Amino acid sequence: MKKQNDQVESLIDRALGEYADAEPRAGLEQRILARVRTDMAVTEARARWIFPVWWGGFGVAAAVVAVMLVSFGTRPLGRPASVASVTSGVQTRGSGTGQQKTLERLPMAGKHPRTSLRSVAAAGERSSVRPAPDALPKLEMFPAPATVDMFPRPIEVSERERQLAALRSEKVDEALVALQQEQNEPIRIAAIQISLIQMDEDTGRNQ
Amino acid sequence: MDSLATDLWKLDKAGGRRTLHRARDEEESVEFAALVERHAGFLYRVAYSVVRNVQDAEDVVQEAFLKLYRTGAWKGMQEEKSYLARVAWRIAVKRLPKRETVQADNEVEMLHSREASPEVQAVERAEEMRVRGMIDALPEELRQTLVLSALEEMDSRDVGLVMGIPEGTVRTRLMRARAELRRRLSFAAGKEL
Repeated sequence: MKKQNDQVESLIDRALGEYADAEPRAGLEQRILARVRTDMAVTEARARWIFPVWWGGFGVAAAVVAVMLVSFGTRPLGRPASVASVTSGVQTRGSGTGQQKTLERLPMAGKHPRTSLRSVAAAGERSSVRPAPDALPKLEMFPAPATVDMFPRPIEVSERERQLAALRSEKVDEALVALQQEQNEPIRIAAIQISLIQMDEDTGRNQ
Repeated sequence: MDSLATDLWKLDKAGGRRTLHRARDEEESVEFAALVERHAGFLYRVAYSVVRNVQDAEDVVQEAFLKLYRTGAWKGMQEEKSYLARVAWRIAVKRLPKRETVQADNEVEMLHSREASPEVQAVERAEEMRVRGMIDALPEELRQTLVLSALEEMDSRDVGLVMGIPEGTVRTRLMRARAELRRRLSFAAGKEL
C-alpha cells in the first residue's frame, strides 16, 4: 500500500515536472528588452509632439484673454447724467454762473442730447441740484452723504397718467390675489360616472 | 556608478543636465536588463503554470516587465522574486477567461533525461500525460497552488505571497489537491482493472 502511494506521488511529481522545468523559447530576454525600448521611444516621441501643442494652446488662450481684456478696457463707460451734474455742481463751488457759462461753451459730447454737457447743464437748472454756496461753511462734522434730492427726479406725470397707472396696479394686484387663491384651493376633480352598457337582447348591439 | 555620472557632468556643463539624465537612463537600462536576465525564465514558469501555453506565457512575461518599467515599480523592490511572480501571476490570471478550454501545449518537450527503453518511455509519457490531464481538471485554486508549489524557486510562503493567501491555506490546498489526484488515479486504475 505504501509502495503504491509512493508510486502515485512519484507519478504526480513527474507530471508536475512539466511546469517546473518549462523553459521559454530562446531569446525571450532580448525580445522583452526590445519591446521595452520600443515602448519608451514611442512614449518619448508622443511627449515631444504633445508638449508644443499644449504650449501653443496656452498661447492662443492667453492671446484671446488679452484681446478680450483690451476690448473691454477701451470701451467708453457711459456716465449717468446725475454724476455729471453732481460733478459740475461740486466743481462750481465759488464760481457759480461762471461755470455754467463755461459749460455752455463746451461742444456736445455725443449725439444723444442727454449726454451733452450743455444739455446736462440746462437740465441742471430744472433739476433739484442745489447751487453751490459761495462760501464754504465751516463744518464741525463730516459732510452728510449725498441725499436723494441731489439726483434728478423722473419726468412729471400728468394726473390722467397717474390714474391709469393706479388702475393698472389695482387690476394687477387683484389678478395676483385671485391667482394665489386658486393655487391655495385644493384641486377638485369631478367624479367619473360610467353608465352601464345595455345591450339589446335581440340584436346583441348596444342600446 | 556615481563617479561616472559626476565625470560626465563635469565634462559637459553646457548640456550638463541632459548628459546627466542620459547617464542615469543608461544606468537604469543596464540594471533593468540584468533584472530581466535574472528572472525572465522564472516568470515564464509562473505564467506557464497558469496559462499552460507557450505563446501566452511569453506574452504575460513581456507585459509584466513592460508594466514594471513603465511604472518604475521595479526599482526598490523588497522581495524581488515574490513581487515579480505576483505581477506575472496576476496578468496570467486575467488572461485565463479568454481561453476557457485551455489545451496543454503539445509542443512542450519532456526535459527529463531518460535512460529507459523507448517503450518504457512511451508508457511513462502516456501516464504523465494522463496525470497532467487530471491536474488540469482540478479546480483552479487547487491547480494553481499545486503547480506554483512545484516550481523550484517557490516555497509555500512565496506561493502565499503571490496568490495573496496565508501560508496555512497554501498547505491545506496542496493536501487537498494531492488527495484528489490520488483518488482520481485510484479510481482510474480500478476501472482499468
